[in-house]
Amino acid sequence: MDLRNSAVNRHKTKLLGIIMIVLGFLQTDTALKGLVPENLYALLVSLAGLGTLICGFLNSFESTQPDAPVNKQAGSVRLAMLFTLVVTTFTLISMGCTGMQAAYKQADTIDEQAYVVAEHYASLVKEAADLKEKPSTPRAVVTRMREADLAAAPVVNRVRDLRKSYLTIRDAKTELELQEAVNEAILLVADLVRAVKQARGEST
Amino acid sequence: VNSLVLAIIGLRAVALSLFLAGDTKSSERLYLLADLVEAGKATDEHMSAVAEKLRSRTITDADWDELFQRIEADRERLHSD
Repeated sequence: MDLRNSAVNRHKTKLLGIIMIVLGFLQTDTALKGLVPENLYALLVSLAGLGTLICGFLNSFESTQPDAPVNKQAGSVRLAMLFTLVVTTFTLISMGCTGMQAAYKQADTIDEQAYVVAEHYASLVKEAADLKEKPSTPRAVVTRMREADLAAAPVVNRVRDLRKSYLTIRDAKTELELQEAVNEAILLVADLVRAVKQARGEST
Repeated sequence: VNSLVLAIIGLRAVALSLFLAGDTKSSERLYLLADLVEAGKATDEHMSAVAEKLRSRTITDADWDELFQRIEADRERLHSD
């Protein structure tokens, strides 16, 4: 059996891409997700990643051989691989917001709602600052995040001031003012979330 | 094992392989994507801690002061050149 010219060898990167697609799909469906134990899923993803890494080396090596035929599929394979990774990653991202939901659900009073939205804003500002300090983040992305922060910051400051007034006076008027400020802050924090998500979209 | 951690490791592994294969542009984009996923994970963990804090005790003025100190420090980092 000629392993070098076998279909498996010729299409190894594509096969790994298909495996990644299947693994990603398994995670999107609640019923199917239960079929694969978490540890097995972890092992399979690690092996697929390792295999892709090795294929990256092999493809690079093959393409630099002087007498080797030109690999016309290399570009499209890499595009497919990128697409697969992006789909898988976004699937995982969409699953990973349980902490956010828990925090908003836990806030029973307007005072607590104000605190949660301010903490949400704080976590996003930290995220934006961390991304800004990474050399891989494009300048346009940093600018977009800064603009969203400049819009949200004054409202979050106002939430803090109105919370103090509400806790001192505790009447319907101050409660309404705080509620309106919290609602406005939620919208502006959502803009900041979108700025990061848009940055993610622009980069892929 | 957290599947998000695996996704981050997988993305960085593929980014490295693309870099070694000479596709630096795609490699840089994947590195950026890995950074974004990592940042999103940190945000969610932070909000989980906030939920736990709300469950366990009342929020005080000291919590707000500490929160705004963090905000100011991170805003300074975000807007500095």
